[in-house]
Parts: sequence; structure tokens; C-alpha cells
Amino acid sequence: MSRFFREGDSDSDASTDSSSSDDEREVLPTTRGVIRRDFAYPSDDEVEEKRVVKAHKDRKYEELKMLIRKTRNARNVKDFSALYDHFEELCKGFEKMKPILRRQNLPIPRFYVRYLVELEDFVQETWKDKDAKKTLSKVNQNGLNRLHQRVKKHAEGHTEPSLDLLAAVKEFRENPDPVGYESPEEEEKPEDEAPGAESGDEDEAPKPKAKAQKDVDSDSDEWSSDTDSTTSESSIDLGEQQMEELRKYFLKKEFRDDLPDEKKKKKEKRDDKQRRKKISIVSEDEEEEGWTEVGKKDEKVVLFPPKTEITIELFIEKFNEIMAVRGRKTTNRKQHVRTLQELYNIAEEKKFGGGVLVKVLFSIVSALFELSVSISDSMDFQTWHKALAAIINLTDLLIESGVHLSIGITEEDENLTDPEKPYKVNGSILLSIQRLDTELTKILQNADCHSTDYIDKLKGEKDLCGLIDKVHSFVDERLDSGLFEKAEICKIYMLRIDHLYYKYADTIELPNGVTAHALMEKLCKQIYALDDEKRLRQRAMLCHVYFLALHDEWHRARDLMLMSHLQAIVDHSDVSTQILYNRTICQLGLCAFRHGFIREAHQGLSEIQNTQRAKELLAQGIAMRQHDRTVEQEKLERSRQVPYHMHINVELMECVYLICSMLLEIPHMASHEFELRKRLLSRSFHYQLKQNEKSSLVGPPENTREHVVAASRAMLAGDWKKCRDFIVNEKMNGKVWNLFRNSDTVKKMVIQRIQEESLRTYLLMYSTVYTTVSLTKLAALFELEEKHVHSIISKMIISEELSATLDEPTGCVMMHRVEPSRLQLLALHLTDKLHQLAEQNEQVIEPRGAGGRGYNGPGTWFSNRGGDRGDDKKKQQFQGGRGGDQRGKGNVWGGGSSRGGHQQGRRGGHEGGRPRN
Amino acid sequence: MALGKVYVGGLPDDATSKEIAGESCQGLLTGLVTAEEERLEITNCFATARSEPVLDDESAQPTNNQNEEVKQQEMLDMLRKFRNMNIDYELVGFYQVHPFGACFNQDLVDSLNEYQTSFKDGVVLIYDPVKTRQGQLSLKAYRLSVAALDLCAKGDWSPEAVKAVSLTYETMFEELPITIKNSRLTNVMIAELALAPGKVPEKTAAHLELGTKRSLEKCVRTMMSNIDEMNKSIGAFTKYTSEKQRHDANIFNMTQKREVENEQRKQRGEPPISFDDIKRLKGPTLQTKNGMLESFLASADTEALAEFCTKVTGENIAKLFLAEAIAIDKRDTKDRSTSSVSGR
Repeated sequence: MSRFFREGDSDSDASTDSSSSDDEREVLPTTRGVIRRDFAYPSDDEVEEKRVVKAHKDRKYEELKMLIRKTRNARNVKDFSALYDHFEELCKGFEKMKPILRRQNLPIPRFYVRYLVELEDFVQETWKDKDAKKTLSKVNQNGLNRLHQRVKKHAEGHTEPSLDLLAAVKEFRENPDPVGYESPEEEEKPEDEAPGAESGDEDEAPKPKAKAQKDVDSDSDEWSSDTDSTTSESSIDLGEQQMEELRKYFLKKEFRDDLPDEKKKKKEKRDDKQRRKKISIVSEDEEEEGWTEVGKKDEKVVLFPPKTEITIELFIEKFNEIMAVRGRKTTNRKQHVRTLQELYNIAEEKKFGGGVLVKVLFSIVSALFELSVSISDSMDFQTWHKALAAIINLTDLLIESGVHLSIGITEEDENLTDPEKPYKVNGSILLSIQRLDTELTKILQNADCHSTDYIDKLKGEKDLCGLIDKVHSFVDERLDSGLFEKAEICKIYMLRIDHLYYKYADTIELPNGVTAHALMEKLCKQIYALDDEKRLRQRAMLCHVYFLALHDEWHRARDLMLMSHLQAIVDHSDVSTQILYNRTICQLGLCAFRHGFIREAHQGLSEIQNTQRAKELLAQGIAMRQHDRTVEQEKLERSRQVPYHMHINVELMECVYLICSMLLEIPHMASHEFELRKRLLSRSFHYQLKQNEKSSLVGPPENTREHVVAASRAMLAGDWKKCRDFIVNEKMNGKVWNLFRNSDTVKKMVIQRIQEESLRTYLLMYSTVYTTVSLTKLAALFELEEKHVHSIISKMIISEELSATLDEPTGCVMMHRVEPSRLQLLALHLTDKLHQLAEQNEQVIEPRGAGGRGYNGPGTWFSNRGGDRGDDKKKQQFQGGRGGDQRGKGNVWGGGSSRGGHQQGRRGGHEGGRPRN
Repeated sequence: MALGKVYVGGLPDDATSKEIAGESCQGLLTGLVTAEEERLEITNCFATARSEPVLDDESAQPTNNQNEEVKQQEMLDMLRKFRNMNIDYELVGFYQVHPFGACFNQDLVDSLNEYQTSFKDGVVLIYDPVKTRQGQLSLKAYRLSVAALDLCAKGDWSPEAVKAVSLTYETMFEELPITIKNSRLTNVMIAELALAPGKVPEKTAAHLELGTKRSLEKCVRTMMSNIDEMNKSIGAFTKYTSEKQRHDANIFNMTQKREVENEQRKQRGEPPISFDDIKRLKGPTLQTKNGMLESFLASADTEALAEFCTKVTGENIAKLFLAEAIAIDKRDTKDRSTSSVSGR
């Protein structure tokens, strides 16, 4: 593996690497003859390098030189703070260069050492010069102080055998360079590049070579100093350039002499290295480790110095050190996770006990969560899986070891080391699971719901359920230990419920003996008991209702819903609860339909269906028409979307709603045919009907909507068979009826309802044609039992829909035709007009739009006005109001910009109820 | 000066025969004013010729005028004849026939205005043939109140003017109490009629008959048209008030602005700008033909009709109860007689 490959592994260096290799390609053909002019320094005026050089090293050198030049400038003006900064940079640069130097077996660059010495001298000088120090500004003084310490430390910090900075400095002090000296750089042989990976314990590798290196160094120094001394007089005349060349000439010659010797040594070294490599491979237990090291600083490559005994204290110290960099910009998150993983492995190996393991594992989990930067972006599914595995691991560990993991324990109270006492760790597994859950939701939201990819991801949900189950039982066993806060416990219950409520009982895997119903009930009750804030209680209740409705327990579901009084308070709760409420209402409506409670079903579904924005209200799609939303709002809305597998089928819902409307509305229409003011039970149904009427040519129905409309027409004509055929046929089977679990009974119910309602419509429409109808005939016509027909007609007579009497002996219905007399009709018209007049009169007293005048009298005077209309009015108000609220609710999700719409909706609702103001 | 009573001496005899045609017949009243007893005595009347339909055509104008002239001539002729016959020939008003007593319309107001300006104590006598046919004589005497007369003279029925004199539909007309005084001969005849058993109609239960269905229908119908009218005028009024408000606010703002400006001009020593142009701004007008008059008339009409309705329906209900009671009574007596028979 070459150097480039190795570097290619670490992402950060990838770009520079490729560019450097480009450089190389360019440089390599240029031979010694080419003169490369670099930049000039104040002291080392011009640099000439007449060799083929390694570009990487070169660049590093240039960087360093650049920095040195900067520091020199700073030094000249005595700007110590700037000087300090530059020095810091320089140190870093040197740090970066070190691996290269080491790899190529280069000594510390001469110019660097010289610079260090100069700087040290300068600092020492200034340090000693008390007067000068006093004159410095505060910032500069500070810089000086720091510099003073740093310089010393820097030299001492690098005492590795190959790159002993201290020694180099010392040596340099002994025989300093003359002015105009340029550091020697060894020519390199291609063989120098060892064809193998260098492991972390390379430190010792260059040892045998070091001596030779030093010799070379000192030799060259000697030589150069010699030449310098000999040519010192002439140097003034000679161009520095020439001098340099001269020096190099000597150098190279010397070098060449040395070469064979050197080669031999290198060979030795290589063998040595290969041997070492084998060992290192064996020692490497994870492949990861091998490539994590490259891009990192030395401290991270090896977590612990290889030969030190890793004690628990040392371990924790290291752990804290690593954790300290968490979240910083400079930290590579992936790296961070790997390091923690490594730590975990060490801890496991050394058997440090549960406390440490839990702590490290918990940190791993949080680090995994932190991998993705922003909250709104979804996690990578792979990472999610890793996090899931980590949490499962953590749970197992917690169950086994009995470590106390709680957010009640502060960082100070943690007990990681002492095996005598129970281990205590700060953190919450429940919150992690919750995070995991939300991440999964996000992943599912972002996945294409029609692809197999979605199914794959959905499988994660099952694993998550398993985990939640496990943790739930774990928490249940330790309820009294005080480890978990109430809110936390509620959360795990809620999570459990969240993953239960929308599934059918027979698809939920449960330990034997526990039914899903019992479990659901238990969970909800626990939340009712534990939850202090109302939100979770509401949610739990809604989920419970949803679950019951899904399982056809209509009465229980309805009772629970009514007992909760959620209809009244849901407007004040948060958006996600409102969504859940909408979902529940819909499910409840569907349940009512399955049980044949058409009116209830209609009521439930109309709240959502009448708004034209069913999808939006159920969070199953985003409204397109609100263009004025900002990006954030849209993002927020997106984040609220219900994952696809939890969707309620909107088309099914619409169809059910329309069928309900048909069953209710058609007889209603028939009975109020001649009424002046038409009251609509469901607006959207009427809209559909009207659309159908308008079209000049009515073809055979295509979609479910058209089917229902066609059926309605048939019913209005009293043709129940046609109506049935429109509702129950192959097409509708596929689209609607097969989506019910007990489709046969539902179909049977619907057909029966169609028969009954058709009978009613028929009687209402055609009662004028008959004077008497025999029950037997009606029964035959509508294929109903005579008894049933009898009961229906009786009901109609009681509710005064039909003015007729039943004649028992002959089994006939005798119609009474009672039409209002002319005078009565006139009187009715007159009352209508009078009412209009009264309204107009009120307007004279209180003009419209001047509500702010503080005159609200007439409203109270006329509160009982129009008693005959009172009832329907109330009904209208109720429906309109609800509708308005619903619309409003939807708009709230849209965010602030649609506030106006919300208000309008509300006002619309009011106006529906009360015509004035 | 208002007279306390109107004494009606003789009935307009021909009225009864003519109203059957369903046309409004009308005539003139003659009589005398007795100042000391503060009463107006109507002693005689004569019908004017049925008015020819007034043609709207431009070409028909001469014939219209001609008709009018003929009428005038006839009236004067009649009065002269009265004088010759030594009957009271002083014109004190006119009479009109209106079913349900709903007489209030533009024509009536115009005529009353005319009469009252020429003759101070002029009245209109309204005769309701419908009620009379049901066996009740209905006569009502009205005159315009002083305030209304003023407004008529000015021809200004704008809401402000009406408000200034605090006129309402109730105070627009003054109803005068009527005392009927028959001549001696008539009294004798009535007494004779009462005594002669053969001449009294045999059908005793006539007063129990309802027989009001048609008239009620008609009444409601007219009421409806009146209410439509009122609706219209109320709508116009609402519009007017809102416009008026806006206008007032506008004026107020402008005057204030002008005042401030004038203040500044004063300080600068310039002559102030007058408020004339602001005052000259026209306010909105009520979008009806005759201002508030129409709504007043409609209201008064409706009131009369409603009064008729309540009266009739009240009577009818009483009649129904009566009839029921009688029926029960009859059955009871029958039962008793049969039982007594069986008892024998």
C-alpha cells in the first residue's frame, strides 16, 4: 500500500492528496537543470533547489518558510501577540510535517531549527529586558508571556529519538549557521518509500538509522561551515547564488560517498519494518483501527501508549479527554464514534466493570445520533441500525449488570469505578429510544413509500418494537427503584402505545397470555395515572380510541371519546395531537360505518371530509396551494407527516363518507323537495350531485365518487336495485369493500340500508300518487320483510315525515293528503317577509360592521326570535362551527402566514350560525 | 282649530251599491261647522263621477284636462243645486271607499292636503264595504295632522325634516271620533223594522258564519305588498344612514382640517378660507320617491290591515267557540230527550 492509498482512506486529505500527486507528475520529469525559484526571505534571500524533490515535503517546507517569514516580520515590530499566533501556527505546521519527515527519514529541517533558536534568543532577550517589557502593551505582554513558555515547551515536547528537537537546537547552538545559509535537504531515493503500511508503533522503527542520519547531518554541517569559513571573505563579492551552488556541490559529493553505506542500512531497516508489520497486523484486532490512525494526530492514533498498563483511572481520564472534544467543529464525528468504539473494546477487554461500559456505550449512542448535523435531516439508515444495535446492547448490559442509568444522577454522583457500590451513570436510555423512534419516523418520511426500500426500512420498526418491548419490561421491573422519572416512564409507555395503536391485534406479536387489547388498556391506564401534564394523557386516550375503533369496538370507542371531552379541548392542544385527533375521528367514523351507524359515521367523517383538505388534516400530504409558506414552515409541515404505513386510506374514507351522505341526504331531499330554503347535510355531497347534474352527458361511472353519485340518482328515483349495483360491484369491491376486514358483513349492512332508505325515499317522493299502498306490495318491491316495512313506515309516521295511517286489517298504508290552504301558504309567506323586515329593521338600529359601537342590545332582545327556525339553526351552527374550527386547525399547521385564513374560517363558521354580525 | 266630533247626518247612500264593483268610489261631503259646539256636521254628500282613467300619453293631455274640467263643472253644478234646494252646500271634505279601511296612499294625502289648505277643517271619511257586508258599519274620519300638513305644504319628506317635527306614521293622521245621528224618519223606520217580526231575516245563526276566508286572503295579500314596500324603503333607509354617517364624518374631518388651516393662516396674517365649499357639499338623499312618506303610508296601511286581521280572527275564534258550545249543548239536549224517551 503506497502512501497515497493510505492517505486516500482519510477523507480530509483526499483533495490535497490528489493535487499533490498532480504536482508530482509535473515535477518528476524536470531534472536537476531546472531551477526553481521560490520566494525570497529577508535573510535567506533566494532559494534554489536544483533537485527533483518530493512535492509534498516541498510544500510543507514552503509553508513553514512562509510562516517563518511572517514571524520575522512580527518580531521586527515587536508585536508579540501576532508573533505568538504565528508561532502557534508554525508549531502546528511542524506537527503536520513530522510524519512526512519521519517517513522519509529526514532530519528536522535546518531552517526550522535555526528559526527556533533565533526566536528563543529573541524571547529570552526581551524577557530579560525588564524595561522593554514594561513599555509593551498589555496584549503584547500577554503574548510574550505565553510565547516564553511555549517556545520552551515546544522544544522539550519533541524528544523522539528521530526528531529530537531539543538535541537539534543544542547542536545548532554549538555550531550555528552563518548568514545566508540554506538548510540541506537530502536527495531521496525511490526505495525510500517502504511498500507497506506503517502502523502506529513506527516510532521505534527509524532508530537504527538515526545515528547515521545524525552523522550525515553533522558531516554536512561541518562541510558547510568549512566552506563558509573559507569563502567568508569572498562571499561579499560572490553572489549568494553561486555560493549556494558551491556548497551544494560539496554536499552532494559527500552524500554520494555515503550512499552505499546508507543503502545497506536502509535495507536492514526495511526488513526490520516488514517484520514489525507482521506483528502489528496481528496486534491489530480491528481493521478500522488501521485506517483511523492516518489522518489523526498522534494522541488519537494510539489511545494509550503501547506499553503502559491501562488502569481504570487512566481509562476514564482518556475517556473524558475524548469526550471533551465532542461537538466541536474540528472534531470529525465519525472519528469520534470510532474512538469511542475502540475505548469500549478496551474496556470490555480489560473488564472494567459495568459502569464504565455503560458510560462508554451511552456515549457511543449519543455520538451516533450526533452524526447527522441538523435535526431536520434524517439519519442515515445504516447509522440508525448501528444506533439501534448499540441501544439494544446497552439495554442488555443494563439488564445484566444492574447499573443504574438515570437522569436523576448528576455527573458528580456518577460511580464508574467502585465495584463495591452500585454503579451509577448519568443518562437515560428511554430518551435515547425516543430519539431513535423519531429518527426512524424521519427516515420513513424521507423514503419513497412505494419502493421496496421503504419496506426494508420498515423492518427496522419491528426491531425497534422489540427493543421498546424489552425496555418496557425492564422499566416495569424497576418501577420502584426511583431510577426513572415519571415523565420518562410515561414516555416509554407512550412509545409502546404509539407502535401499537394503529396495528391489528392479530399482527402484533405478544408473549402468550397477553392480548393486545389488555395490553393497550393497561398501558393507557398507566399513563392516565402517571402523566402530570395533559398532553400524553390526551394522546394516550386518542390512541386508545383509535385502537378500539380499529377493532370494531364501536361503543367503547365512542364512549371513551365522549368521556374525554376532547372535542372541546383539542383546539387548544399542539398540532401533532390535533392530527392524531383527526385520525381518530376518521377511524371512529369508519368504525361506525362498519357497524351501520350511518349518522354517526357521517358526523365523524364530515369534519374532515367537508373541508376538501382531508389529506392535509390527516398529515398524509402537503397542501399545494399555500405558496406563501417559508421554507421553515414547509419543513416543519413535512416533519409532521405521518409515515406511509400508518396512513388511513383517504379514498376509502371519502367513499364511505359519500355513501353515508347518500343514505342520509337522499330521503331528506325527497321529504323537503318543495321547501323554499334547502338545508344541506353535507356540502361536498351536494356539490358532487350538482356537478353530475350539470354535465350534459353522463357516462358510466369511473371512480368511486361517480359510482356513489350514480347510486344516489338511482335511489332518488326509488330504484334500489340499480343503486345497489352501483355501490356493490367488482370495481367498488377492489377499491373499497375489500379494504374492510369484514367486508361481507359490511356489504350486507350497506345493501340493507340502501333498501330501507330507498323505501323511505320512494314513499316520500310518490306518496302523492297513492291513496293506499299495501305493505305486502312495498315489501315485495324492496325485498324487505313485511315487518320491517311496517316498522319503517311507523317510524316515519311518528316523526311526521309521512302523513299517513296504517290500516292493520287490510295491511295498507293510507295516505292523507294534507296540503296547506291558500291562506296558510300566504300566512307562511308573510311570516317570511316579516322576518326579513325585522332583520332589516335591526340593521337600521345596528348597522352591519359597526360592532364596535358598543350597542349590542337587539341581539339580546331578539334572542328567541324565529322560534320555528331555532332548531335547524342550532344544528347549522354546530356543524358550521365545527367546520370552521376544522378549517382553522388546518391552517394552524400551515403556520403563521395562514393565520388570517384561520380567522376567516372561524368567522365563516359563526356567520353560518348567526346571520348577524 | 280641531273639532271634537264629526257628526254624520246622512249616509252616502250610493256608496254601498257602487263599492261592489270593487272600484274606489268617492264623493264629496257637505255640511256645516258649528264653532261653539266644536263639531263638524256632515249632513249630505254626493258622488263624483267615476274618474276617467288618466292617460299618460302626451296626446291625451288635452282630454285629461277636459275630463278634469268636466268634473269641476259637475261639482259646482251639484253644489249650486244643493243651494237651490236649501241643503247645506258648504264643502267639508270627501269620502272614499276602501276595503279593510286601508286607505292610506299618496292620492289621499294629496287630496287631503288640497282640501285642508282650502278649507281648514276638511276631513276624509273612509267607508269599508267589506266590514259592512259582514254586518258591521265601518266609518272612519281622518285628517292630516298639523305637522304633516306643514310638510305637505313644503313637500319635504326628508328624514331630517320628519325627525324635526317628530312625525311618525301614527301621528301623521288624526282620527276623529264619529257620532252617527240618523234623521227622525230613519229612526222611526228602524224601530218599525225591529218590531215587525216578519221583516227580520229568519236565519238566526247568520252572525255565527265565518265567511271571512276570501277577505282575509285579500287582506294578507295586500299586507304582503305593503310589507314589500316597507322592506324596500327600509333598505333604502339603511343605505341612507350609512351614507349619511360617512358623509358626516367626511364633513367633520374637512371642517377640522379647515379650522386648523385657518388658525395657521391667522397667525400668518392671511384671510381665512370660508367653510362655504364644505357646506355646499351635498349629503345623500333617501332613494325613494317621496322620502319618508312612502314608508309612513305603508306602515299606516299595514296597521289598518293588521287591525282588521286581528279583529276578524279574534271574532272568528269567538264564533268557533260559540258554535262549539252550541253544538255540544244541542247534542246534550238531544241526548237528554232520547234518554227521557227511552226512560218512558
